[in-house]
Amino acid sequence: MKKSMKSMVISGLVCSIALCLSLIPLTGRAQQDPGGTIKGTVDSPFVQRYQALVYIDQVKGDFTPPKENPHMSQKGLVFEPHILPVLKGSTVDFTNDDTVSHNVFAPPGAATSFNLGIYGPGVKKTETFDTLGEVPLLCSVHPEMYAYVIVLQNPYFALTDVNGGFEIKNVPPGSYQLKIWDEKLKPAAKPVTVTAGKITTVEFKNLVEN
Amino acid sequence: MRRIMSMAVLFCLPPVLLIVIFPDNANAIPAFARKYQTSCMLCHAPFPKLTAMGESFRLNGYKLPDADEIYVKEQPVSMGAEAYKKVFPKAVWPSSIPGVPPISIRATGNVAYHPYGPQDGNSDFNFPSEVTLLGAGSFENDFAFFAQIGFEIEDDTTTTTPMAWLMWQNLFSGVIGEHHLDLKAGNVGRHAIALPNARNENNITLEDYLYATELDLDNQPGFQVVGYGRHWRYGAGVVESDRKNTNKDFYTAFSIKFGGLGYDGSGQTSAAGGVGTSPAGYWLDNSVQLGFFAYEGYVEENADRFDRIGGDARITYQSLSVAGGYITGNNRQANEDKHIWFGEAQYFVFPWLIPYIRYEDMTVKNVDNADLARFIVGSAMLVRANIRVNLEGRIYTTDQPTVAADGETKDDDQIAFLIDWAF
Repeated sequence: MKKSMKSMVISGLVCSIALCLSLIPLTGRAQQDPGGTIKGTVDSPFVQRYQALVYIDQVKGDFTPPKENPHMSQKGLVFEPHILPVLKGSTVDFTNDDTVSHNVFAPPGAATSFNLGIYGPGVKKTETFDTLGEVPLLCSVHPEMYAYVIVLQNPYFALTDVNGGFEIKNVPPGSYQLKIWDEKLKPAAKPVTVTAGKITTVEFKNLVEN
Repeated sequence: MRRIMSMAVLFCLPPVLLIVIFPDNANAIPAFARKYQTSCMLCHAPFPKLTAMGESFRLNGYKLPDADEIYVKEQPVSMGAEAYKKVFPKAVWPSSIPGVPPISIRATGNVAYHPYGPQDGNSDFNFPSEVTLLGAGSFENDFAFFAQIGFEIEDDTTTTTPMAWLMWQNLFSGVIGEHHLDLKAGNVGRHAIALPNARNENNITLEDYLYATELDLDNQPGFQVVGYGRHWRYGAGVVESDRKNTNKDFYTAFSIKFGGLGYDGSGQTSAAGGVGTSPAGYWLDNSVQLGFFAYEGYVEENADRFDRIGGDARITYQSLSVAGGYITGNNRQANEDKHIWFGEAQYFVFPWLIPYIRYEDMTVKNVDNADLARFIVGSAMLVRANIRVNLEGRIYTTDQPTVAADGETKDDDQIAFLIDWAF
């Protein structure tokens, strides 16, 4: 009995050590990149001036909006940022950071049409975006001001740099439609297959002006 | 009355008819749009009429109130670093000039048709009737400037009219407060020699205010002090009566405002939003303004002294602006006594379509056949933010004292189309 008890303890220790050892690489992989990376360029002279948004159209699963609201500021008679990609269901904070009154509205035809009224400096208003798509933002007091909220299904997107380059990290392995949105270009899409731990390169060319 | 009503309906519609127009002092300065990278509509509703923000901008020496620097996109050229203020008087006081010359061009042209009266059946094409080169801006926070050269074209003759002024702002501000005393020198009186809330510079109709033309109220060379606060603004000046003599004219104007954006840019415009609401516009300024104006002058020609005194009121609520005023003018030697009153309304149907109607009535005592009464009915339309067209009718309800070829006095009614643009 004593022998069998001893052997059970030893067996248990061996199993525990083995289990711990087997978990080390798994944990390490979890802490590293669980998916792949999509890297590439949007080849158009427009992207130097008008940033493009590159995003995966649909990814399986539900994605929860961030706890901290995305923020759109009005300062110096300019919307900042100019393009704000958000997850569906996100509530955006709109702040008037100027010394003059502002308005924010999205015209009919926008994915979400709304009007926040006219309000003074220091005021914060919010709007929730539940419909996928493009939401142009305008200010009825300052007609030159405009920006875009782009409502997306998943968090796998990136804005291009001045050279048109982009990189989307941590994409779950699988096959997708990679799309671009740019205020001056017609939408375009490319199929892309992402492999865990690997970089997939995509180049958008021959893009057509709106 | 039926004729007036039908013309009112016609002119409230967008123009289909090309048709005199007498543009006033240019008041719209697109150089500012470039400086701030903003639309004309920040300051005009529609141009040349100033919005509440535009009025505040003008009074502040062509700077946005509070924090002008954060809005400037076209950086000025330094005429000395800020720290040189600490070295004064051992250095020239630092300043700055606009990064690029703040030059703008404004042009107007018109077509006029006279269905009745002395010019029965005549039509005139006047393209352009006036071209103006203008510039304005500020040197740092202490000085503002304005200069314009107007070329008025009439019957193959071009008349050139230069004007300029320089304003030193915030005098004795440490004692009496900011914005309470500015000194202007040059062709002054613009915006001040007028009923404060019905100035020709703010007029969106083709026809000048009757009181301004009948009472010869115009800019003059001289000095003027101006000042303003949240609810008030004033102007007072001494100007040349006539360059051939040493007599001087004196004037003062005062206006108070309740509600809306303050003259100093304080207070804010607000409008409710929500589902199903349309975004309210750039012209909103729910307010009541009351004004007073007086002028004492001299005419060399018949050694006559004259005076003008009057008051006005403007109420703005949502998209509607209603104003009225009364002014009396007396030329003592000539024993001519004019009494003029008017009422007008403007309404923003759309941000680009503003129909209007004005009634003006003048009674002249001691002069026969000089009384006038007329309607100005029309629509101002912004084709673009910097292109305005007006379709307007001028309809006399009393015989206008113009003598026709047959010796009969007749109305000089007119239908006119204006195009006014600036860049």
